[in-house]
Amino acid sequence: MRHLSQLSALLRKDILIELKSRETVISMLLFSLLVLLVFNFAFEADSAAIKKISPGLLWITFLFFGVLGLNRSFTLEKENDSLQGTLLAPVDRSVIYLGKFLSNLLFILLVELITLPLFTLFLNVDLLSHIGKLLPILLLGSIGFISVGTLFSAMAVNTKMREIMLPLLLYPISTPAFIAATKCTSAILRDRPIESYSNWLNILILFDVVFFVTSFLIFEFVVEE
Amino acid sequence: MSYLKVRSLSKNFGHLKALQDVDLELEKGKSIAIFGDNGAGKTTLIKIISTLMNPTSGKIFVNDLDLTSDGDKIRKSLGLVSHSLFLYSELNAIENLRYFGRLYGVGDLDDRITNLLGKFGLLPRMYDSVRTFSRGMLQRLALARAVIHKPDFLLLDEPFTGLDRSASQLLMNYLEEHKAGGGTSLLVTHDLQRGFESADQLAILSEGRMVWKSDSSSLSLDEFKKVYSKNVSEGV
Amino acid sequence: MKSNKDGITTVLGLVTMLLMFIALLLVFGYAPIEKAMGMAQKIFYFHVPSAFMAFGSFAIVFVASILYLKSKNDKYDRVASSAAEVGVIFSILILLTGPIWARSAWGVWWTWEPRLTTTLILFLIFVGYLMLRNYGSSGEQMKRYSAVLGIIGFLDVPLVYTSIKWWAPEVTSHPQGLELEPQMKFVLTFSFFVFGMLLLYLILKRIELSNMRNKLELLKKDYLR
Repeated sequence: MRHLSQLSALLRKDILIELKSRETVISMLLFSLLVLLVFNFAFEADSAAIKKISPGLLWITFLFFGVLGLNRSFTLEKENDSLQGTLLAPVDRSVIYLGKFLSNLLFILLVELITLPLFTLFLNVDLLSHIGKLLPILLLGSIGFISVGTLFSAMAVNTKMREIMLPLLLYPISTPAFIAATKCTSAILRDRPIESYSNWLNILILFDVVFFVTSFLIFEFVVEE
Repeated sequence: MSYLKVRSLSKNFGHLKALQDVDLELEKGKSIAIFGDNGAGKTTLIKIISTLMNPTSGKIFVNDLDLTSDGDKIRKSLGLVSHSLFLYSELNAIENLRYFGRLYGVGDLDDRITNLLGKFGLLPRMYDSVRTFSRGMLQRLALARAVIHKPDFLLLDEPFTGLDRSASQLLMNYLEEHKAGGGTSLLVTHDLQRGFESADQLAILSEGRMVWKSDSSSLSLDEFKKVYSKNVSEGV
Repeated sequence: MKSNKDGITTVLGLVTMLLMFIALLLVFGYAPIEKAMGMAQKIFYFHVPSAFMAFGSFAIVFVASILYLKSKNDKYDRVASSAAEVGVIFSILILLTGPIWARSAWGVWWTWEPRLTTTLILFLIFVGYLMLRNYGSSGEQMKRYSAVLGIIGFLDVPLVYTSIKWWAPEVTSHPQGLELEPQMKFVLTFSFFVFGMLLLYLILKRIELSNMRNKLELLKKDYLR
């Protein structure tokens, strides 16, 4: 009960800050637009090639702006040492992790959902008619890289090259989740039955479970001094 | 019965010995001021007692609870006033206090917040973003934040640095009130006069070692100043 | 006592060097030339043991990292960081010898073969580990961060391997179950043994170096004040 009300306080704080500053979501959204624009010129929309590589492009876009949001999540805690204020309270360190994980997931998923119609519009790949099947993949893939990303973001913020450190650490680790999510997306866009990509789904779920649990347990070692 | 017990506490940062074999006892309802120059280990001591930092070796008990195993229970009764503000600039005064109050599980939170904002003269600005606050107002809000859960044990890390007159006065008043209510406090500072005036016990920390301890009633401020310069210059 | 210990590693180093020469002689003089692949197959005696040593090193990083977080004993941090460096060296050996083999066996320098690709990703993860140690803050925090990364990085190995294997099953042309003649088996076992000694020597030497650096810092602190 105590954990739950603390979790809601942590989450409410992050959402409130975002509602007031709108920095995280807007910067991610702009970045997403820019990436789509660049892809358009690089691959010439409407070609057959872009249909083939669109699942990969979609997840590259997500990983690109996802890192922006993740980087921001602990930078804002660094100002006035406010994270230490939270650590002074009788809050379980894992609950703090969970709060950050959920707020990151919320913001990044929001921008992903806005990106879907933009992707359809600009690159002329119909994602929206598959939305029902795509949503679970979006959720699972995002949980994967955000669970490790939240942990790494708390570490990167205390290094000398924080903006570069996070993607450098996060991208290689997330390869399995990236491959699996891309493969699932690709199968869905080609209207394949779930059996054809169920082993990818398993990899994705396994990745999520392994890294969510590990990050949840190990987070206390990252925030202690 | 001692409220705070520190037993041969040491902390190393790599090769730097920030604290060496520090022993300390403090009874409930008493206050202690620990003095020392920059780099003497004062902030490290506060960070360890406030559970933000793990010691390299040694034990700390607060109210007979072991700091390393019962951190969560101890945090409930701790309040830390520091030169760091621990506030979110995007949020307003009420939102900041409400957030921290919820973390501590404070009952009747809205009453408590109104009460504190009134006491520290922040009511007129309670809906304004903290970013727009002056330095003095920020410090008053930081103080309100630190005591939102009515802590039994106050830790103060250089609380007077940069405080304007009114904020200083508010802090002194709060300390008196805290003491009258049976609260314990530990203050670290290099401000000899203010520290001397506000504490029952005095101690000097030099290069990570506790070099001198006494009751404040047993000597005058001038005598204490001499003791301080003697002990601290000896260390160098 | 200390100099005696140093003496043992020096002896170990000399013995390893001698055995390495013998291994070379055995590889080129004793082991028969493989019929299908010819001389190119010789690289196999270095490639395969290097791979095992790299994974062995990362396993040591994993175990030492867990022990470090549990005990906060600097000794384990030194073992973990030494093993990580040595592991990166062996990964480079795999990434160099793999393409040489690939060129002569399949006519291309690089294939996205699962083991080779997994090695590349592991190499990137642990180069990130070494960067984190260089650009992180000093002292305990950096040690905890690298322990966290050492644990997460190693947990990723099976997921990376499986996902890449499934990603392109048609590329799996890594030599499977080669028919080895008895002499070949003997030479391979011998070179495994020599590489094992090399691994041990490099890690011990690296730990010695860390200890020396540690002592030097202490001396500097005492004399330069």
